[in-house]
Amino acid sequence: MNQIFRKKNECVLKKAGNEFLLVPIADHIASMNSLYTLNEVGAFIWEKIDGSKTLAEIVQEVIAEYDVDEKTASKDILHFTEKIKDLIEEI
Amino acid sequence: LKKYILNIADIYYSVETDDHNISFQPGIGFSDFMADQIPENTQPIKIKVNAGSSPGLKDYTTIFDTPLSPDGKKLWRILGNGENFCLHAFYQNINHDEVFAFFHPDDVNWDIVINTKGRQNITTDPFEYPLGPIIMLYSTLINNGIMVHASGVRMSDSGFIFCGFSGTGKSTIAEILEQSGAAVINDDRLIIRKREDQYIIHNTPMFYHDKRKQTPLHFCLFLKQSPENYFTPMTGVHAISHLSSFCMQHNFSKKLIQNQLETIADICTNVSCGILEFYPDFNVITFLENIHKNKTK
Repeated sequence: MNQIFRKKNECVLKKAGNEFLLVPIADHIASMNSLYTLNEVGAFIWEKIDGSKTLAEIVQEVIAEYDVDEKTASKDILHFTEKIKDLIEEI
Repeated sequence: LKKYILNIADIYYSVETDDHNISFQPGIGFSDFMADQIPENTQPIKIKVNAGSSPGLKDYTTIFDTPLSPDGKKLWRILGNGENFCLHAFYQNINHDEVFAFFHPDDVNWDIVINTKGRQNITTDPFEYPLGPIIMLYSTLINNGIMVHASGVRMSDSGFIFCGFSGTGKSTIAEILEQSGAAVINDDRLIIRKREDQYIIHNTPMFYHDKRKQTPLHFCLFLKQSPENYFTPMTGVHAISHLSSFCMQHNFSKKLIQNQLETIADICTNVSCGILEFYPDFNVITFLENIHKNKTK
């Protein structure tokens, strides 16, 4: 949980109801149709990934914002970073 | 022809050249999209064409590239300098002229330079593939519309679009409905734009002649072939992501992505969306009429 990630590409985040769409700005034709759907917590974590916070620090922010225990939040954040692995890179 | 005006999905394009070496000969598919004049209070997309040599692109870097065509020819790429974009494309005609089309995503006026390699008296069509569809796409996005791979049909005063990848039945369902008296707007490519409070389906110029057509949009259906007819309504991000996957987009410009997402989200809020699993025979007509009746009850 001491990993630090940063975003590879700039993305557009669009809220629709209680959910969000994330569209990366593509730099080649293969990625031109990428689109991710996120729930509110996913969008919250996405905004916190900034190249300086560790995953453990982001987990603490998630716990402070949402009604969730540390074990569940840690599991969720690892699942989330796996889901968006093409959009982020570890530093 | 040194100047002409097009009306595509109620977006006006003013195409002109003051280069003595260039004249225009639009393709047959554009004849019904020609306009005599630009209506008052309408800002056209200006497309200025000149002949020249390859311009200096020192400050530009390639930000988006396409693979070669199946026969190994270069198609197009997008370059950017942080402010402006340049579409560098190759006409697929006998001369394979290079084209440099400069634009800014805030207004999408186009400054086109054709590298004619020294040839004189060039007759050209700026809307020829690959430049034309790309000009239409970006100009549509900047005007709060979308361009979508879909067939569009007006049936019983309701407008339907049927989105699907090749082979899922876009043309088949349009043909079935047409045989029962429905009007087909187009069976492959459409533009959807909001006019006043309503989204309108428009056809676009194709490689063949067709009249300019439009109809209000009421249903956005995502096709799947199936042994029986079934409709699954869809809302929110699921509808948006489905419609988005059938929209033409290149996603290199934040501004154009934002415009497209806003438009798609608004369409999915105002229009009935869902998956239409269908068996390709005439029973689908009654099935669609029932969906329509249930919606209007």
